[in-house]
Amino acid sequence: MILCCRIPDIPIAAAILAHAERGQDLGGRPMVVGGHPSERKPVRAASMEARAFGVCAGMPLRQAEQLCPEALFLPVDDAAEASLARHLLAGMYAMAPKVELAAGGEAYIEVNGLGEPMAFARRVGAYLHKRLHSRPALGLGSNKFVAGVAAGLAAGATPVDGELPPRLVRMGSERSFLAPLSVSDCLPEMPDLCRRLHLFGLRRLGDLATMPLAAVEAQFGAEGLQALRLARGEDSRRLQPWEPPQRIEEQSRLEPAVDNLTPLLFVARGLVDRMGERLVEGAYAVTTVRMRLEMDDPRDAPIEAQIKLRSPMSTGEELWTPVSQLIQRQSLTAPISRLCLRVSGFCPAQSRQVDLLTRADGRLEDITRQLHVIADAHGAELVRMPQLAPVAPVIDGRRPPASPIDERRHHWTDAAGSLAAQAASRGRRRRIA
Amino acid sequence: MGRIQTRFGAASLHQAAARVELAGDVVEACPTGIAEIDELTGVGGIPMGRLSLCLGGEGTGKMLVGYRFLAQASQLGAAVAMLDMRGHADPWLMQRLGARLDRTLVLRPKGSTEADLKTALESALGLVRAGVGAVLADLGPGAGQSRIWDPFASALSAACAKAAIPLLLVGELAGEPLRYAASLVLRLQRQEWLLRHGDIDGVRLTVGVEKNKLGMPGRLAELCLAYPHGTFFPPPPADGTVQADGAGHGGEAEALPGGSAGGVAGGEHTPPRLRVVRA
Repeated sequence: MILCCRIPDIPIAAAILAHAERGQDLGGRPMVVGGHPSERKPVRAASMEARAFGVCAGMPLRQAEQLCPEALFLPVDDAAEASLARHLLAGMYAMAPKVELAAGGEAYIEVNGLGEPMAFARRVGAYLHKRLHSRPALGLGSNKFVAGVAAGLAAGATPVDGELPPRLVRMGSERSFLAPLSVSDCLPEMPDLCRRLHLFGLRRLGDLATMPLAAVEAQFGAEGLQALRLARGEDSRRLQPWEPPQRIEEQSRLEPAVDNLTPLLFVARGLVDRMGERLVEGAYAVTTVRMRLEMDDPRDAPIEAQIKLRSPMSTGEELWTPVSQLIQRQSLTAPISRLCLRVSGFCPAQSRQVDLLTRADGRLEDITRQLHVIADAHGAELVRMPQLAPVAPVIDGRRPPASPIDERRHHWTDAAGSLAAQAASRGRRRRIA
Repeated sequence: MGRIQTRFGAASLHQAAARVELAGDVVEACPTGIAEIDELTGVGGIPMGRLSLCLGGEGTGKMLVGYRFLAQASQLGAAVAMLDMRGHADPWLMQRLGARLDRTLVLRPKGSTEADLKTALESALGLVRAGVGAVLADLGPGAGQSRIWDPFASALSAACAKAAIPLLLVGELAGEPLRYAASLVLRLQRQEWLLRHGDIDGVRLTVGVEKNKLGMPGRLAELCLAYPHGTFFPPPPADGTVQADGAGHGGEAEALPGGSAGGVAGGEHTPPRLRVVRA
């Protein structure tokens, strides 16, 4: 079973997040990403507010300005978009092992073995909604095409309780699900074929699906054959799973060569900071650090050292401690001309392990997830978090006078919600820092 | 020796001194906040990655020890879990002893049937695997006879060993499987109640180490544990500071009945004092 998430407006979300980091709130304003209206470029993406004026992706920027003159026109920021996409991928990769981010803001996730598909789809939807502040459309199907079409239908559905419900196409019912749908809506990447199919009176996928294979191949060629298979709910395309990078490497040439640890530590600090930025950008944590010191004299063997971290680390500040210890352990016998640092053993930053003796952040996300599992299986009442309630309860509209007993009053709160709020506030503090 | 080490590996035979040094390097502990008990254990508290038992009859102060351990663990920056089999968990007391309630998860089974207890134990195992930093379990009555803990004794201790977190079980009695799996067994015995203004203010008790895989077993200590003051005493200082030792009143302590020489752990004016009776 494949889950397709139609992630709306990554360029818009990236622009909002980039401005939010600079302290500017763009929420609620019509926005068009693509460049200045005077430029001869197409619109890359338009916000919901701008789309209400008729602006859509692909139209010239000048036309977009005519339709919505009060819109904020923003330049394309490929780096911010790529960073946001990596963050989203890393977040989804933490939930499922096989994730693919396709063109057009679509993500595919293989959900086999991950529990009840609809519940998993809702979890993914909640994650994307929290990250992007917009509702993703979710479709579940036996292959990528069916899931994509289902997600497209879910996008047009009426929101229930502020959320778009995922659209599920059960195994074996793909053909009947696709039959009433328009060919041109479901196969937008084959415009010429759709036009020819229309000339033949084949306007629905169901019409195409009943055609003989050989006849379609003879009339429309390989493209027609592919469309016929899709119309029958058969899609042989496999998921191209995204994987986190295997290592991050930073190096620096030392000129002139250094023969004591102080300048080496100074240079290493800069390298570690750069690595930390890349880790934060991709939401990764690492478990192994390797160091290589090349001597000024090439005849001397380089010094290599490696350290396995006790718990995954995801920032430059955290990495600096083991790296500095690694360097200080070395005894330099010859001038060093190059310092190379490499981190590997990647895992998502969300699954970091708690270290009881440090005040670094722990595994609140994992514990919260486990609490949700327990709540689903045995009810939310099993694990609770105490909270003191020093104020006496109101009885019959009146609050009794304060008594020494009041300070002993307590009530039990939702543990998962409290921990999730803590994790979120800690994440905000960390981002601000 | 050479032949043995060649055949069974270098770790098969150690000199005793080397073994002691090795053990001293590896074992870490989470302090209980009671200096006497930390010293008795030989490793400075409840050992990490191992199962520990704190046993004693009613009114011996075992939950005070448990809550103090939970408080220390929660202050070290981890989420902690308490398995409350009896449903008697007292958040007010936990907070007065220094626990951070926003990091304390309490598992409260709906009933005392075997199915409820199994559910709670499985959930505790899940939380340990998810990464809580310490676990305190109140065994509840009948744990000594019940076979419910038998399959979970090894599972819980294995999960805690893998996660390297301390696990403290508190109860009146413990069955053989639990005692076998435990690395540390503390036995609490009440000597007398401590009175203040005619009310019970604390307890003077004897702590004995029945089993200790990490230090010397058989040691005894006598100490006094003061209860945090609640409804029947003046309120704590207005600045709202919570004292980790649980003492929040400014009254003068009466003379201890029986002329006890032990210090009151948690009292304001009489710092705790260890008196090891037999070592």
